[in-house]
Amino acid sequence: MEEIERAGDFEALDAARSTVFGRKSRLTEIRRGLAEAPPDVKPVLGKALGEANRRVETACDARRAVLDLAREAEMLERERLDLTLPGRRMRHGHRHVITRVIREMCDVFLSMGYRVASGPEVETEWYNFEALNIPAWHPARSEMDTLYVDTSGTDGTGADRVPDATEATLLRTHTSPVQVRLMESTQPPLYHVMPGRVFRNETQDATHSAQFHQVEGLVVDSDVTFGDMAGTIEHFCHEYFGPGYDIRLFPDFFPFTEPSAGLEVWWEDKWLEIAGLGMVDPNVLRNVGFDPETWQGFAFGFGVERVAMLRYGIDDIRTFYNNDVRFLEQFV
Amino acid sequence: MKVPLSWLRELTPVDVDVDVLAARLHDLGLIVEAVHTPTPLDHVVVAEVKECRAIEGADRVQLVIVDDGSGPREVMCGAFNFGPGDRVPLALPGAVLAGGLRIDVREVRSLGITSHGMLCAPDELGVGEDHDGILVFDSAVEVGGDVATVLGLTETVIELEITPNRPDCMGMVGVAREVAAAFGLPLRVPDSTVEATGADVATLASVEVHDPARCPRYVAAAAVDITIGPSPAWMAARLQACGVRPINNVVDVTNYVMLEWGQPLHGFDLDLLSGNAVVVRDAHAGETLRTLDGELRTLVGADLLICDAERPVAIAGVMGGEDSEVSPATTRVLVESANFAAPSVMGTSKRLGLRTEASARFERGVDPGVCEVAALRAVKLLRDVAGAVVCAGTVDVKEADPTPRALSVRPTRVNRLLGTDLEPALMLELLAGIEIDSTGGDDLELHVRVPTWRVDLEREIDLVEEIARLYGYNNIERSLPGGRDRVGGLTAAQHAERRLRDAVLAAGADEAQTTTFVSDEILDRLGWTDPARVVVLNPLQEENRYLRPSLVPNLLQGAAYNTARGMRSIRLAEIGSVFAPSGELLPEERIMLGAVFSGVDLDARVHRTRRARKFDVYDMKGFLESVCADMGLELEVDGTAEVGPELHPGRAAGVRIAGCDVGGFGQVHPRVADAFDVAVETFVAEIEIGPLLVAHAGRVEAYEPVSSYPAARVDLAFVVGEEMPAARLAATIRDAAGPLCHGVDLFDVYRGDPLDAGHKSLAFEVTFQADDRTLTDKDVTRAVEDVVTACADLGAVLRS
Repeated sequence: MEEIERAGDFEALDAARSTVFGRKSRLTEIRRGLAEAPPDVKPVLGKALGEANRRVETACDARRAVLDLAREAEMLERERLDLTLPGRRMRHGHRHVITRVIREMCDVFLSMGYRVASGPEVETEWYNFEALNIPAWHPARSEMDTLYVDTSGTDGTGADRVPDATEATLLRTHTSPVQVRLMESTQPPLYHVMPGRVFRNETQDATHSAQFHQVEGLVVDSDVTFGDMAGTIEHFCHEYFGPGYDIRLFPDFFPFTEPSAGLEVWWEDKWLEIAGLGMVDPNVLRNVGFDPETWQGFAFGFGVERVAMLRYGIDDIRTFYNNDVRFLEQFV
Repeated sequence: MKVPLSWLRELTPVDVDVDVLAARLHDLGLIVEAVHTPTPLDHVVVAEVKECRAIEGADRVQLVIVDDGSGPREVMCGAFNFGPGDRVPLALPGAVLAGGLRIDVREVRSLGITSHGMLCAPDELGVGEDHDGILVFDSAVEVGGDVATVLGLTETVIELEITPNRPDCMGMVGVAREVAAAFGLPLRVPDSTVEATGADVATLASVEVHDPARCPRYVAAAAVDITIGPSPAWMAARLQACGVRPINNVVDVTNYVMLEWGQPLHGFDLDLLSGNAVVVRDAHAGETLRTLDGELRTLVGADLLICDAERPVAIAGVMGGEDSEVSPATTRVLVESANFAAPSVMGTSKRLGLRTEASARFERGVDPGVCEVAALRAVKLLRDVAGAVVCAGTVDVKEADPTPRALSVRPTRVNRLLGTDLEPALMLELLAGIEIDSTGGDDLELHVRVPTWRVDLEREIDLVEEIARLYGYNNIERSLPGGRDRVGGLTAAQHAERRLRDAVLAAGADEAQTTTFVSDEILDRLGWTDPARVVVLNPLQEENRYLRPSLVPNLLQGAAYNTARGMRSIRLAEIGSVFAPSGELLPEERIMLGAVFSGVDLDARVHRTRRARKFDVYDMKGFLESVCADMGLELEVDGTAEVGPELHPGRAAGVRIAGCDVGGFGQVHPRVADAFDVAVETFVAEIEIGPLLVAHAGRVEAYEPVSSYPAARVDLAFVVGEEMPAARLAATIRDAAGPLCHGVDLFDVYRGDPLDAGHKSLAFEVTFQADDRTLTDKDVTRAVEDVVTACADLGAVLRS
């Protein structure tokens, strides 16, 4: 019995068990002699033999269970892996920070019950300027250096003419033409944001780019006010940047809004200008056939790159368009 | 607009702290760009460069001999942007610069040189951030002069950005008017009354205006017996503080009055005006004039000219001509104080690319009421600073006297637009502060008189803005619009686009944003010769010559950019617009998904092999398939589609999604890879996303019950010729296997022993399953026999 309980492995256990049950064992001898035992002793002896058998088998089973566990533990130990090796992962790409900022900004307005609208990047002078109350001689035009395009399909090489007609086509200098298209196609109330790429004829450097992005907003309703505009934009800034980012407005000038305002946000320790906004100019409403005595509204426009540069500490606008993988991989 | 504080205080006695003043101006919409406080720059003087010498053993510094009037002096300098004759700022030993740097005599023993001072860059003087080179002065700057004075650094100056609607604030008086109103102070308008002792101006010169619409008013004043010379220090200092270079007392007076009143003036040498005549007329096409900057300008009919009896002498509102310029010999001056229409000046200024202090003001609109005041102020100052005798009167050519504009504003309209509850009386009080006075009306409609200098106030809405501005934008209570019935959100197509953008990332590509422009050069590299492009007419750089006809060129450029920086595994994808002429006014603008994979798959090497696997065309195909699968769509490859010259002809194909030909993919042509300097293993794809979005949004999703009976799987390998497309064999198997077939998956392609050359083995796992019973061996055997027969017809032999 002791040998069984001490058996260190399965062989030892088998050997110990054989000692008990083997052909030459004491127990086998006794079993063999059972037939010849006197009848009165037989039942007692048989019972004792059975009892001994059971006790041995129970001990063997118990020992076997212990040895099983040990063997399993040993096997599992052998299968131990270095889990500091890299995982085999599905590569997931990275979202461009411009797309991300646009989506996040739109999401705030979507949560406020806005819709999203878009329009073409090549526009007519009418949509980009005239309809927005920017006549040809307006100083605002010279501030927005415009890239004109020839869409006729003929090679315009050498042509440096800039057409004057309202039919001239250009790369939109702001997302505001989408406002006009929206108002032409949809009756108020309108609560929309309009993200998109815009263009200026600028030589590229750290702060200038021939292309950048804006998120524009337009609200037209029967009774929306300047106070609503300020409240909306404050709500947006608190949602998007955080509760500590207070805002203030200052009088500014845009031909398509009046009163017009600049928006500044309290950024860390100073006021930074991040958007332009204002009440939609009556001339713009009239241009799309809305009666300015019935409908009024406000519009606002954020520079996406500007917001991204502030939020993430990016100091060179060219970074957005180089598509350096080491840049792209920093954003998800 | 630079506002020296001392000048402002002369016009209105504002004594608040400059920061308080700046904040108030900002609230009023006079946007404060900067507040320049006086910079102490003792011992920094203007010196002339005499000689530049290289220093042996040091190629990043040079020895410069300068003279500030006290004799030649040797200084060491690390900049090379100047030469002998240039006038530069010299910090003498003892000077302390803007950053606190103290200048001493410095001996550099290793070079055997002693530097007796330092030449300064703009940032070292506290004027801007520029440290690229030494500041070089205009040659007119006097040698030995104090640099702080020359640069106008001895004054506190508030630099304002004046919005285009505020021409009245393009002069000190206008700014002072706003300040006076804001702080409840009096405005002290500069004195223009002058005792005239000379002849009547009308006897000295005549003025004729041909086009009053473009020149609504022309005032001429005159002064004689002038002694040309430098202006007094107070005037020169003020001009410098405003960023205007002093020239001589006559020119300085015209500039000073412009800065004061916002009215551009021009001084003609009366003796150089032929016929003593001033004629304002349209230019003849091709007429020329040499302007003050020495350029010969060719004019067109749309330009407005000032002429004498014979020839043009100035471009109206833009720049004077060289011929009639005030010179040291001038003794008699005719002062022009005219009003030119904004569109006219703007057109000419833009066309000539010539923006001046004058044109910047006329473009915004100048007060027609100030012409005479400014003219008289100028001759008064000429008397004071140039010893002139003032001629009597003025010649004043105008159609009508400029009169205040009558406007009305409804208080209910103001409050409805602003969301306020302002009393009509408060509105009138606010307006009165800036001299917009009430002329009657009632609480329903206020009638006011707008002074001539507020050329921007023409409509009721303009007064609404004035009231809001003067009340304070930030004093208006903030609220949110109502609208419980409003429901926002994305459209189905917008949701689909977001899904697509997410799918692109999930398929492993980094999202890129490339530029909308392409150049001839880059299109050449792709071998694209189609001339039907959308051309940019006025690009500043050649890279912006065309609008991109495809996303591929700039994505390849992106791959090249990364390759050049040592990146080995590049996967970029972009969703953006491409352009093509459409025959309509606006070009065709399509939104595409483009992708480029280049180099190796670094992720594949983990646990497998030490060598990264090179990308192949199936990576790109897999990318497109993954994107489509994510959108719930299937991608079909069309091997027969025509392939562009930028692609490897044997490794490119068209792509069909939801029954539409949407684009294609493939390996770039080895020559293109070479031209872009990217790995040969570079793959591109481009598909139009419109049909994807429509198909995704229009998908019908219905549940199909899953069979509860077991499936039977059979592996079948067929030997076929190399030319047999796997997809064709798979389709044949699928068709032949009958309705019980649930799937045909290719799992192995094998070439080599024992197959004959030019042959391959394609192994498929074919799955059979029934919805209503467990399949028997007989079912499967029969189906397999049909498959083998059908494949044999294609020449495919079952491998045993």
